Amino acid sequence: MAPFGRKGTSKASRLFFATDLHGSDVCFRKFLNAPRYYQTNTLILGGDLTGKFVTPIIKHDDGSYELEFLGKKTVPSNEEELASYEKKLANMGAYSFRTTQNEVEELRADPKKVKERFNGLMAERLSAWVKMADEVAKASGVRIYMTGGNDDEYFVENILKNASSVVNANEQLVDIDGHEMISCAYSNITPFKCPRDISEEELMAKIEEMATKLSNPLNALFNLHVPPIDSGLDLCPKVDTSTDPPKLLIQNGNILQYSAGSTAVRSTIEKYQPLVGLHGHIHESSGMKEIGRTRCFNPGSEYGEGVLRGFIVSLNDKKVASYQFVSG
Amino acid sequence: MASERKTSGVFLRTSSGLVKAWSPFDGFVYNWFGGAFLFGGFGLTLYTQMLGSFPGTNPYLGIALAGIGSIPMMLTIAMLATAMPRTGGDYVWTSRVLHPAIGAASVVGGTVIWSMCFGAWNGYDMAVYGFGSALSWIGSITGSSGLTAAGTWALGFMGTVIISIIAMIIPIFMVIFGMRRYAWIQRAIFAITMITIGLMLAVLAITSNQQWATSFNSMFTSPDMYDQVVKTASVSTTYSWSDTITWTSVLAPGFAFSWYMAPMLGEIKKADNLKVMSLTFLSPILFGMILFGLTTYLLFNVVGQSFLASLGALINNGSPLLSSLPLTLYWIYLPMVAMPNTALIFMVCVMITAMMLFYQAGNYIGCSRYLFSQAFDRILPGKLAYVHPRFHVPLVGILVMAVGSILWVIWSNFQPSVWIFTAASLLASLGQNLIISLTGLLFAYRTPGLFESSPAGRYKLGGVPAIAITGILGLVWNAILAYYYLSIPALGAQVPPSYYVIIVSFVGMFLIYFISRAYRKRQGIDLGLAFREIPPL
Repeated sequence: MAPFGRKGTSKASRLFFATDLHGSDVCFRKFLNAPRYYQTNTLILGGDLTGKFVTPIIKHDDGSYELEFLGKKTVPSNEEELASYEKKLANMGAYSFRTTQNEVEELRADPKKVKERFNGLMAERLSAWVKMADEVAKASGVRIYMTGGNDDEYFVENILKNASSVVNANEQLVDIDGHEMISCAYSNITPFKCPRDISEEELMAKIEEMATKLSNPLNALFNLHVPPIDSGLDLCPKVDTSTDPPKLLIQNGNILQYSAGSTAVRSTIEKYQPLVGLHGHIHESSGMKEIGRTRCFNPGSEYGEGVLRGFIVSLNDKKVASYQFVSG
Repeated sequence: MASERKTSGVFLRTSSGLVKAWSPFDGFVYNWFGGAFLFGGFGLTLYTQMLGSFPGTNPYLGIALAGIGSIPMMLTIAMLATAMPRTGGDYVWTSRVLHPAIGAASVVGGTVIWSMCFGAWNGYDMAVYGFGSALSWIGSITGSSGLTAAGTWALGFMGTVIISIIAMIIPIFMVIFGMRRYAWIQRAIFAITMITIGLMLAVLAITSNQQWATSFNSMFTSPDMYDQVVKTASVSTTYSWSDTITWTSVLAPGFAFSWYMAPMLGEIKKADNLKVMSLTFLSPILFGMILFGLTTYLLFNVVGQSFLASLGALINNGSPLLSSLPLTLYWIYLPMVAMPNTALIFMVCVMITAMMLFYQAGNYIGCSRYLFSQAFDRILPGKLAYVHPRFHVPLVGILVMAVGSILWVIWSNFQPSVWIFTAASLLASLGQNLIISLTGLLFAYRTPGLFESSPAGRYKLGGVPAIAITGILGLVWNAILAYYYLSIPALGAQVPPSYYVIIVSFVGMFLIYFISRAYRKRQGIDLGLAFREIPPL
């Protein structure tokens, strides 16, 4: 049962929420431009900030470079073209580095070195993002909240904590124009053994710990990376976890689908009935779903195409005045 | 969680994941039936009558022209699909590349309105070409007065109305329980159709012209009825370019329906893979060309081109010459004249029923996705974006289409004169094709960032994006077809009341966008924001 709330004391707020950028440089730069473009005073970036693949750009003895772009071997004809491929890769969320064939062979032979290289590239880009975001926040007065996601390594927290203006909202209770917001980067267990997958019980404990501190849950925002189970915002294909990487489960020619959302997230939303639920995690399941009085949003993600998907949500004293899905 | 990318030249992190839902095969089947619209919707029922109207046509040339002419547009669609593999298909592409009002007008004026009307065709075809014809013939062969009466009922007014309404209701239940279940039904329909068509063609392949003519004559008291049909109709099958181009103009929009699945791209696996999408959109055309060409070849060999054209002319003219037969001899029943096997006739009836249910289900699926995506963008009421939590289908959109279709079935059956408003419906679909081609032409220039990051961005000819080239070719092709529709009266589009409906539906939806925009603005929502690419900092 939802608790009784105090009378609202919040001001009108217009926020933009996006999530699951997975390293896409252009999507992040679009995100930072959202206040000017969408006339919002608050930016919230949900989890999964870091990318998922690295493209080595191999330098050959004759000075030419070779890389794989969109599954095709590509040989840029000059430095300018090479730079444009590096930019395209960054926009798609990929990391790239110039290297030699020998180093690539070394990396292939040593997964530890691959991970180190990944982490270095992820940290480098995220640090650059945070620096950019700090500058925007300082210059415009816009509040920017960022959290990691289950797919982000723990070192992401340190980078976000070092920000001067950007707020690392993960496991924090922050105030947005009188609306309290709690955030959680963690997810229930996924088949992909992501760095921040935890059990439903642990997830419940983390959310509860924050929710109990809320002075007015009915007027709060729950920025929880994983969507509530069976909400329609959490539908994804089922995979066989006995293989590495997990394989899609296909039955009679059809990909089996299931609700990958969290029971803990659902039950806390049902219990506290916050004003808004902000979610991500499942890229294909974008939409808005009402759970009781709570409007839960998942804007989905098309970071690979360089398309920024998000929701503009206008909040009045005690209600969602309007919301709008945008992509561009 | 993120999309899986498997390539040999990159390093992947261990976690990756989500992909789309429907298999490309299901998409192909869906497109194939869409492409087979000319074979099923038009060819199945109107082939003989078309030959009667355009007896001088060279069907092979017409099939080749219609098929080849459709290829650039299919490539354009494949490239747009991989760039924006989203539910709503061409609405999404057009609204983002050209203008949201154009996107909304294109899909509503080009498809949604007509899909409600086409439902009545599907019901009529099921009643008349399916149950009525098959049961009457089987009743005649077996001497069963019950079956004959059932066939007569199906051919009559009330029979047609009731069967048509049932044909609108059953597909609701085919699609509302989710696309995975629907895929199964669709595969069953595909199997039934392929087996039945295979058997029909096999019967034709083992029948000679002499055998067929003898069997046909034996259905009458007059022993030379085959010759009498040709003599009475007195049509000339001498080659005519005019007839051929008219025939091509009828076939081409049918081939263009090979992009039937575009509105549901968000639910199809590998919709971001250009090779898969190109095959999915192009192979139905190739398949349709081969099947339609083979059917024509066998029919001309066995039944004879002159006879077919003459039969079509007699059906078109309502000639009483063949009135002693228990059914109107639409081409779909011609193979069984030489082999009047009741099981095969029944199979044809089942096939027609299944295909019409498929078409109607397709109307619900595609249009509900169009409505869903516009509601998601807040142009249309939010209820249309409601997705059933268990079955994950846009339930309200499906029901809106079903109610509209049932109302049209009732109205058009009780007031047949309203059909005049749909005479130029294919012209409307050409309008939609023109807009899609224009979208392809301008895609790389209006949304360069999206183009460069899409698979289509890799393909350029002499520095010109391939999609711009296919876009302009598609534009020219559809403009030529539109010209023929506007200039050849036989194509049935020169009907002013129907023009008005097209204008009202396109312009009306165009205006609705602006009305909705003004209304949403009062709610603090700027609709324009949903469609613009936000510039990066």
